[in-house]
Amino acid sequence: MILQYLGDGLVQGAMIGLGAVGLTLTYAVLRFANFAHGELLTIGAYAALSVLWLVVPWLGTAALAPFSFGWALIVALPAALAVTCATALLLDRLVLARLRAGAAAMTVVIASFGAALVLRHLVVVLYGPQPDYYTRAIQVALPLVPREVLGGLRLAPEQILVVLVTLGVATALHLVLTRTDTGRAMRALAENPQLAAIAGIDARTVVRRVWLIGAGLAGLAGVLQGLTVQVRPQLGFDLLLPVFAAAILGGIGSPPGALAGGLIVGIAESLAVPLAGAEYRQAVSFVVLILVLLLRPHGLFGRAP
Amino acid sequence: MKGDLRVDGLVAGYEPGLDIVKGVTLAVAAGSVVTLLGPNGAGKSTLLKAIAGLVPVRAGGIALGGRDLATVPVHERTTAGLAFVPQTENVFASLSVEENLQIAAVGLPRALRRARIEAVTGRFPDLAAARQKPAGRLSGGQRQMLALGRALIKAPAVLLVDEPTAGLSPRMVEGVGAILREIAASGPGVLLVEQNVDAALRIADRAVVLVDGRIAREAPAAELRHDPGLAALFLGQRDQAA
Repeated sequence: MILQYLGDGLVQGAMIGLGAVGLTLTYAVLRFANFAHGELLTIGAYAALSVLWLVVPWLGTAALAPFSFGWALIVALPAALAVTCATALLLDRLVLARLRAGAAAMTVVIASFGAALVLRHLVVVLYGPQPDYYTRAIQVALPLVPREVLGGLRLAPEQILVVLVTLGVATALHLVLTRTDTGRAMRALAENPQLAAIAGIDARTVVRRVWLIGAGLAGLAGVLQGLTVQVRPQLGFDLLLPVFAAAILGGIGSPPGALAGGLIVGIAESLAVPLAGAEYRQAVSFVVLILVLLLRPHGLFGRAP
Repeated sequence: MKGDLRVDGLVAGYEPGLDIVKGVTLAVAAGSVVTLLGPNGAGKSTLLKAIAGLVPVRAGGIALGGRDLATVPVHERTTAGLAFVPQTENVFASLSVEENLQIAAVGLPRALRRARIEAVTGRFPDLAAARQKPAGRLSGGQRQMLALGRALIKAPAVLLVDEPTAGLSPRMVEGVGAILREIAASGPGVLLVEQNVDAALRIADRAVVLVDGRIAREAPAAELRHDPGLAALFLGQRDQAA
């Protein structure tokens, strides 16, 4: 069964990693831990659900083999990302940017925590507390490795898609950060805001782009979580601790580190089930986090300040 | 880009009610080097930062080529023709040399961007050899070259340089001085803050001595080099100034 736990951990880790990349990017540039980041995953998941309801009458519910979802979800995805990005920009404009301008860093963190509570309860008011699904079709796991080899491995096409999408997005993000003016400006602003201004970088424009990328990744992680698990108001909150753990484990401020951290946390949580019991899933991932930080205090890819 | 920098009655400071620069008026003509001298805490670096837009200006004006810069945001002053090289943390350590130069070239057409970067790496061969190296791994002298190169990418009208020789070997100090003279000869004006008075007076055309945020003396650099009165303004640095 070990391969199956590894596979499940990889899938969950990919989604945690996507969330963590967005979180670490906003932390690196905006210099605060955004506790509302988890809710951006929830907003993304529910926005996709809403658009799905709207477009299903036209596009139908027929699945695109081998997946359990159809065109409706593919159409809903970009709309969901747009809603998530708009929510993040609005949150920044109405609350966080005002506080970043003059308040203490801890005030901004607490404000983001408050915003998270508001957003989560808004979702409950609008959609109710019960979970929902993008599709009622059964996700059939494909046998990838025979049972004779370490217990075998079966993954649903949706789970394989999650891993492939994460790898694709991570590659695209790496190229954006290293090969484009926007990416270089983000890294420059993260390292030294004053020098960035002197060099002609408009911080407001860069910050907007950081929100768009961070929220976009969060929205995508939310939709993938909704697709492979379920859509529920606690979706983002339940992932918040693993997402923070992944970002810190990878080295806060490092997008590749966050992705690696996500995979490690996801696999550690999954392996914790046979080794320590399902109730210790999150505890085990935090033990891994502590062990790594004891050896590398700035995380796997982090740099000393 | 050409144009004289004019600073008129500038009052600036970090905290409200605590002025560091107290009514400074000076001009930097295109192609000339003006050095700001003075004892520690005189307000030299604060004046440069105020001109660059990093320290709040409470009164007075800053104009470049006739354009008022006082209300122009820091990041737009580069486009307006002003370039600033801070004393420390003047390169992006985690970015490569090439990326540092690319950052400074944002907004330029692709062909011009390439040409300007090539021109900088041509002027500073050490940078050409270390294009892919993280700037954090450069030597002190190479960092200064990169910081100057970054500032030159947009062909500024005026270059503000804060203590470029701090921590450098005597040979490097000579080299930096020659580069600043060369830069000024190619067009831009240079406003230089320098603790090494002897080196500064050899580099500059004119010198302005600041004491407690005010101009105490202004004269051609060659004249001040032989002025025994300069030492008295420096309190603890008489030997160097004399």
